[in-house]
Amino acid sequence: MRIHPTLFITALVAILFCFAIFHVGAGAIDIPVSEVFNAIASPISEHYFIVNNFRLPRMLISMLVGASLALSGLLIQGVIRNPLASPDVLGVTSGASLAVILLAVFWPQAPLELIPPTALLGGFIATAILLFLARHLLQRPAAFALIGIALATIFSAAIDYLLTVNPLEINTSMLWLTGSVWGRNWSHIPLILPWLAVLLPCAFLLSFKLDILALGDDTATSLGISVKALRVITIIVAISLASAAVSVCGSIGFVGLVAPHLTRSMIGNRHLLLIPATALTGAILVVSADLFARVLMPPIELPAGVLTAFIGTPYFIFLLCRYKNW
Amino acid sequence: MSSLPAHQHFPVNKVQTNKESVFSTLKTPLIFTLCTLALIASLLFSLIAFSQFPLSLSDIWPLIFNPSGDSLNQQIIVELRLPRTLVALLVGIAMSIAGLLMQGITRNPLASPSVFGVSAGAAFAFAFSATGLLPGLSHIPVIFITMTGALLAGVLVFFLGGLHQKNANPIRVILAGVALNYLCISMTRAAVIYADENAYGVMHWLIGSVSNSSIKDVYSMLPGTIFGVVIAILISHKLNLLRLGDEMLNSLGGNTQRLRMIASVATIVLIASAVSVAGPIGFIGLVVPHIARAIIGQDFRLLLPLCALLGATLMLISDSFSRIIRFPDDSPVGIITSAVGALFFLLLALRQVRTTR
Repeated sequence: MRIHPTLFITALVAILFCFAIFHVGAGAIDIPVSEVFNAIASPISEHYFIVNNFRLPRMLISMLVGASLALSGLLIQGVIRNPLASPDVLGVTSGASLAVILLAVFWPQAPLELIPPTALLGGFIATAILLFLARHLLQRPAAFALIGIALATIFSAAIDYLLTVNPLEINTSMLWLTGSVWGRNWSHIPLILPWLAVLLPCAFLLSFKLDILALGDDTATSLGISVKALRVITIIVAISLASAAVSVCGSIGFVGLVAPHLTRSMIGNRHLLLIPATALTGAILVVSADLFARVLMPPIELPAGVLTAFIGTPYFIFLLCRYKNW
Repeated sequence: MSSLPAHQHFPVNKVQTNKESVFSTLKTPLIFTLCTLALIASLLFSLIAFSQFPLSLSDIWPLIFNPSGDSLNQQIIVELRLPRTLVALLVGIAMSIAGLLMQGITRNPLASPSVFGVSAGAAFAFAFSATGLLPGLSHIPVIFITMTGALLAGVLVFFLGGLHQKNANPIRVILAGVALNYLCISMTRAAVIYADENAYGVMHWLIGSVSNSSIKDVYSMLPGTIFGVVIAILISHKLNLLRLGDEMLNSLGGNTQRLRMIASVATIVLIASAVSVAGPIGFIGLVVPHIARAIIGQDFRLLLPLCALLGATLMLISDSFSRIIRFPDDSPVGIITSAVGALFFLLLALRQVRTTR
């Protein structure tokens, strides 16, 4: 099924807009859809405080995080040509989470600005270990994914250990265990927005070369592309995006896996179009996951990562069953 | 795994020097004696170690030979430590034998309750019944609920991983199992948050702990464990044949389908009884069979008792050390087993990747 790209992207923007409105409106105090804009804009509205201090930043964070994770997954899948790859399957996000938790446990007073670089460091170390262990396996997607998952298991065992030994507040722990946008506010937006603002143009710059890389290493080399350099740069961009997302809200699983597949199946393989479409799809996934996580059984709030796992794991298994090169 | 030299299967290597044969006849009893001693030592250690009260070995001897029941230390050991120790012991036995059986019937070295999502499935069923969304579930004994969960997860992994096809790729099965494991963990998280309203218990639930065991838990685990172990012993010689290949077993008069079915039932009962008491304690079922195989070889008749001994010993040691991580508070034993087991998982995965294709 192929849809015209402009049409598809427009539709995505519209869907994202709808979910965003519902996201701001839903919660312990229901704000009717017609009232939402009024509440954002005019300080005299009775919901002004709730919307501007709690709902709006949370919604924006969900969007940014979803977009970053999805883009990261798109770039990783593009560059190692592995349909099963994504930052969480390869252990990048759990590595980044582990680094942030180590920081939180051993230096609780650390300034907020230190979190993204820490996450980045963790993400890069995790990737370096993975690439070292699986250096012979780049041509074997399933085997590569298996090593990534084994690494992710080690990191999450370490996270379990740290969180049990040094109990944090339960919602904070849950955030690092599953990924959640609980309690995110305006102060967290500067942690992720600059990264996205820098890395999104980078992704666009890379998109033409990624299209050529999709034709195969040999073709790309003969067309004047330094394949190795392209791989390295793209992986750096992808890991930075994933780590920035993790530094804000933990590892929300499977967005980076599902979103690129969805958009690829709708509009084909041109990266110039895939990049905005995937970012939008990722944003929709996380915003809707957080929306459902809050409205499914109020007043209890589920972590958004639990909801994305409900969608993501069946999809991963579906990919496994469809994958033919066993 | 099936490419091992023939002399490991059958005692045909008669060309041996005298010295070697003496050693090899003594080797097995020696290994078992050492492992039994290790188990007894870890049992005693677990009974007295890392307590807030000054317990010592001298509190245990009168307990056995002259139980008066007056002393405070004896009370602590009998009422608090003994049930916990016994549960850890039984869980270790159940999980490692379940892992051994799974590795036997799938011929996949990474098969184990935690990697294939079976124990996570059982834990989810338990957590779901605790939410009270289906009120009828509270009348059913826990063991049946966890069995259903384990069964469903097992069947799902079986088909999603492609084990029903000929030449199933071992990596595919593992990836499917890991994904299912992740899904079950997520659902358990949701169920526990729903049931417990935000308690810190979520982590203890998902990691697996024996710290709150009572003597009732021992009794509820005992029948399932004994059932599973007896079945495993009864089919162990056939598992030896299965290791040589489906055709070999069938041509020697066995029935592969029936053997796999019986072994699966035993596995599910074992996992269900362990999970219903202690939660999904990770990776014991993966690690222990490999250690046992490295020590004693491939014969299931010897592997079974050795797995039971080693599994119990490892669980007891991990449980003892889980108490000092955050002394005097208890930590769930699962964080120790999964930290160790995850490393092991990575090593096995690297080896598996090298051997397939």
